[in-house]
Amino acid sequence: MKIKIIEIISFLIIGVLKVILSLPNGIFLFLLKIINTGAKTINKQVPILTELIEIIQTDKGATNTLRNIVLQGNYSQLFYFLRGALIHQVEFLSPQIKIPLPHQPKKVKYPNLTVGICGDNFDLQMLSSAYQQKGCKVISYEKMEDILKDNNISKVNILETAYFLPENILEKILSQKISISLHFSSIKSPDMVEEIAPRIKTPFRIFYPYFYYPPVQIIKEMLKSNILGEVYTIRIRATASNHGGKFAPQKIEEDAFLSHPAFDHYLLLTFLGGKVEKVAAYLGKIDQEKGGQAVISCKLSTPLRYGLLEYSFAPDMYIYSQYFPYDLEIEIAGTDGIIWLNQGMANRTCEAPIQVRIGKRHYSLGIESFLQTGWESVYSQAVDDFILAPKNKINFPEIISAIKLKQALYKAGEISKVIDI
Amino acid sequence: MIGCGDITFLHYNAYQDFEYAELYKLCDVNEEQLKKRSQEWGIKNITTDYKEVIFDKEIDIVEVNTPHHLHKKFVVEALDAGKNVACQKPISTTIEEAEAMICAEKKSAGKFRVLENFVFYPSYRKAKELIDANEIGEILTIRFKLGSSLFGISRYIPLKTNLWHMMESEKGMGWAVFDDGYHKLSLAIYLVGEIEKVQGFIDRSFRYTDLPAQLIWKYKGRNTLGSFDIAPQLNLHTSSKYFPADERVDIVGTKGMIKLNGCTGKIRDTAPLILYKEGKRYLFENLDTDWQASFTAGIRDFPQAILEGRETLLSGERARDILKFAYALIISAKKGVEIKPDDVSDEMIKKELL
Repeated sequence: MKIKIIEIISFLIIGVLKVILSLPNGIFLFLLKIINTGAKTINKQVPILTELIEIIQTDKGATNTLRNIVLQGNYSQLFYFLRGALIHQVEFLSPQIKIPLPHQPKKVKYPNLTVGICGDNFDLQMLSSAYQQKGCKVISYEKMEDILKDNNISKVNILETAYFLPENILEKILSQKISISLHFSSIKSPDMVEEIAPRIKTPFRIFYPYFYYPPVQIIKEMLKSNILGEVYTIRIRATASNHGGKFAPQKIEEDAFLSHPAFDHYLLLTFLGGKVEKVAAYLGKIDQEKGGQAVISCKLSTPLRYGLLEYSFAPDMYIYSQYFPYDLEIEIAGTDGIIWLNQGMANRTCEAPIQVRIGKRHYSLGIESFLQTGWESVYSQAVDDFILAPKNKINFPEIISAIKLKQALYKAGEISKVIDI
Repeated sequence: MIGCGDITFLHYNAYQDFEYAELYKLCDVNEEQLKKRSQEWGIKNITTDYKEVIFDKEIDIVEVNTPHHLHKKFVVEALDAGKNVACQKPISTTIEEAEAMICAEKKSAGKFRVLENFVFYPSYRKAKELIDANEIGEILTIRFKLGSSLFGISRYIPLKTNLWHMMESEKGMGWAVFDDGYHKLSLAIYLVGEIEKVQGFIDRSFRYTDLPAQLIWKYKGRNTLGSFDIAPQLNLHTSSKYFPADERVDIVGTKGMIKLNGCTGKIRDTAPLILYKEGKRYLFENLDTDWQASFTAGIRDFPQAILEGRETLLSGERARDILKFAYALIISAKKGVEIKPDDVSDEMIKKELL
């Protein structure tokens, strides 16, 4: 409620300022002198007031510049600046900042559910395990065609698949009213999502583990609540290596690395920041022994918002992880401060997974806040979300944008030019 | 010292208790500012005429701390008079002016350098040592961050200082990339090497300031990529005695990582330099984090170099290359194409920006 009041005050202040600054200088000067006199009466020197008065009296160019900042500046930026200034700088107005509490894993079981798992990648293995822990029956299919041969398919409630659904199998699944969860790696083009999504009337999602990583979910909630004001930059740094984690070293194939694991994080960028409009890229050579990297600069559709994707393969870096040595770091900066995500699958450091600096405050979310950060929590969360959420056609515009970004990157890297997406 | 504006208090501090040089004479066209500095600093030798500085036989080094577009006039005349000259960054606003100053040095008995203090900041020097000692292996990526705030500073920065910088955007330059950005671009070269090509985006905030921005580049002759992201973090309290700037650097190498946390301002209590290698973090906590330390080291380096007969890091040529780097970023962002700093010329600047 207090924030709403502050927002109304901000809106009014901007309105009044625009009116006053549209009038001749004399009126603004008069008002400033009154405020300055008032300040002096209570023994307060306000240097900026004194300087403003001097500028208006003596420097036409500087006065016009100041005027234009308000009159020609971006309204939204002015609004969020004022909003944040009132929240964080004016003590008596200062509302309680709500930091979302971590979701606790649900202890509920689903013994009446049967889940089909088609494919054998790491995520599907973890999902299979999570469904079983939640009491579900799990049927495994090695290939899509096995689904057609299986009489038990009529009992399946949810299908988790690493393969995109060919028409005949999709028909069968739709006729059984099965909820469908497609692994993100199966989506090769945006058309695939755009064609299939409208036809599926049961819950349907594209599974990407970071959508369900509890710290990322908390950050998403924070951003929705405008905790940073306007978001300007999102930086995602991902580093993989040959050392650390039970699945290291993984064979790196140059072109494949740029697709997975590196470029997976285009989905994180659009999930947190929205659609991408333009991209510029430098794609270095990736070598198992020598390492390599890519940096991608993006303009997002939201005005004044930019993304940086920074990938590196550091062959000799030790990245502690229980699974793959993939280090992740995210930094999101806005009008009022910064949010950091300090870990993903790997635990390169033992710093709190989430740190926030806004205004004059610092928040740290981790073990002290009962934040679940073990990688298994992703799959537990993913299972709960898909079963309990009534509709799951989430984030499709952002997912489509991420796939388009992935396709555009190679071209951007090749021609060394900004590409429109 | 020609020009006694806002930043010069850092210069004054550098000369205190310094056995090799003393601040002898002050010059500024603004008499009020000149008298203010004279009183603050206890220096009675003052003048509004720059020729009284350039032709004063007592003076060995002339510091030029005027607005950028005035550097050439004072620098060239001082060098022609045989003085050693130090000017503030950036060297100039055109390549031609930069070349003129470089040329004047070649004909002069005096030396010339362009002060840029970041390369003297203790944690950045330490990072350079660690990189050169191969502590993190080959550098893969280096990322610079600038977050600009309005709060957290313990002194009053005159509005006119900020306004002047904002107005530079109208002349094709800009505070974040061209002016303050000079420090980061200088560091980018200092820590890694020369720049081959650049791309990116630069936006506008509040009509005049060149941020947010997202810039990327490739280094010459090595498999290293760099980036620079700039965000207005206006309400984030950024603790500083100088300017409320959140400046951080992340360097990823083939076997480790270096994080540099803060320079002009600080936003978190953490070691100024953290080295990550072999699964461990090494916190370098015993480094001087006061921004003044970089000015002191940087300003003192020049007279010491003159006395010792050695070259300084901050040559006119280097400053010109940084100028080209900055303009390459600005032009690239405007045109949406890659630009090579080596290809930047005044004709290109005039055509694309003015």
